[in-house]
Amino acid sequence: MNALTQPTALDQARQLLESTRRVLQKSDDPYVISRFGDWQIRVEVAAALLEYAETHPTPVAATEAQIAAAEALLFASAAEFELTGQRSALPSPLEEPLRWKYQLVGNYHLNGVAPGRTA
Amino acid sequence: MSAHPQHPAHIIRSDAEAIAVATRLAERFAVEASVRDRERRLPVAELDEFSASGLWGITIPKAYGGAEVSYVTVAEVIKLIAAADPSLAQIPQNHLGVVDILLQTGSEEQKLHYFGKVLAGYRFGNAFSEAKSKNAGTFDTQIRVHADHAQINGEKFYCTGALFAHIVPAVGTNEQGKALIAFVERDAPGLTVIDSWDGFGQRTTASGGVTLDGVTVPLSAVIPAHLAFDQPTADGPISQIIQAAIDTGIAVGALEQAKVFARQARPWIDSQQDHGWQDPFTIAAIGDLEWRVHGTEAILAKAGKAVDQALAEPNEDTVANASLIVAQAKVLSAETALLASSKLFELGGTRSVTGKHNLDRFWRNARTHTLHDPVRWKYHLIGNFVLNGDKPARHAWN
Repeated sequence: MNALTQPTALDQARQLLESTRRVLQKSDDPYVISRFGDWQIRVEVAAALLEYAETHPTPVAATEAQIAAAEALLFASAAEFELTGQRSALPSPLEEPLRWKYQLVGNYHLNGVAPGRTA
Repeated sequence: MSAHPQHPAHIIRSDAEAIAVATRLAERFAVEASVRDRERRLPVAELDEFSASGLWGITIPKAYGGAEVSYVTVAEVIKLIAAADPSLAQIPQNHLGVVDILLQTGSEEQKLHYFGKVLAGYRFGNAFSEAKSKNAGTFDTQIRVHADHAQINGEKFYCTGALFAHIVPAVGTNEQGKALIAFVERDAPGLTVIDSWDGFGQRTTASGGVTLDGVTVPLSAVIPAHLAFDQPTADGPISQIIQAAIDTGIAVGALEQAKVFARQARPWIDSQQDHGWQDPFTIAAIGDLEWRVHGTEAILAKAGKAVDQALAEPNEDTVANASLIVAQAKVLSAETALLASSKLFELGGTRSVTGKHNLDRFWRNARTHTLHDPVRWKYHLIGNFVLNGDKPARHAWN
């Protein structure tokens, strides 16, 4: 996998939001509208954490941004399916499984164990 | 409560000083926050210390002698205080909003007069909301402007800060239905502040009632507040970012306690560990809370920058953008405050619910304060711009 050419989870979450928006064009359905609002928030928080990890690095800040991006993409694929009835192929599983990223962040913040070390 | 502060306030000169003062105060306020909540002991001495610190004047423009700090700093200050005691953090909420309405709609003389008072340590309360009017944006209270004075009659509720204020700004409408604000001295005849707030959260905000019975003020004490929304101004986003900062602070405070109690928890039998903090599910749950709280803080800071932009260049686009990003902060802070204050018990185990810890105050405060305006409409506000290109309505809740 090439990190430079592979679209990131955040990019894909954004692209799905944009393509779904183009399919729907406009809506006055309050539930559809608020779903897009929720979606936008998931994308923005992942972008903000990525930016923050670059300016305020900690041993787990980048991992926190990766979790946010992965959650944004999971949200995006579910919302796309819900709103259009179609589902894009999800990206191949991340090299490091998402579920272990929570462990990594939690072990740092709860126990002070930086990634790569053992308690 | 007197209409004058006992001591003149310190004047804060910079963003960095504001953060340093808030950090120091938050440490002090945290010590007895639980006791104040449990006994519903109103924070009279703490509030004097809070306003005397100069933090209530940090948004006053430099041209009027204030520090004119960034709203990134304002949000950080409120978050720091709220992490220690969210009732104390909520009390200046309307004060800070009123400072901005004065900036947007007051005359030069009024700005000089009232900004000078704020820098000297005067606290504004509020008599804005009404429990009986049709919705949050309508007022039955009347302000009638006569040749040399104005008269106010009405009944208010959710008047956070009024009990402790030196000046109580009251909203009412004139004959044309336009909203005005009258600055009423705390000891003015006809003004009654009722300590009737008995909510299960934010218990020491004294967010009770105010009655205005033929209260008379000079015309110099009335501002055309409706102008803050007739034209695009940062006032709505300013009001909302303070709300989001309080809820972010509650989330931060709850997460800190979650870690303290998670580390003390016994290991669950099936985990086959020696300590609770080794539990793989506990560790992952803390990881989940951490990214959510940090994400909320990062969006709150972005919201602060958007508010600064709207203040510097007020127009339809900058104000809409500030409303949209502040709404993101509002959603995330409400979600994380409620989540962290509930997860706290799951991770701390049954011992964390014993009365002596009073840890339920985090959830009670989160649940109560996040009701200020319904977050369900913030998803809609954001989605309506993303999908339909519609800008948010301009009012004090956006």
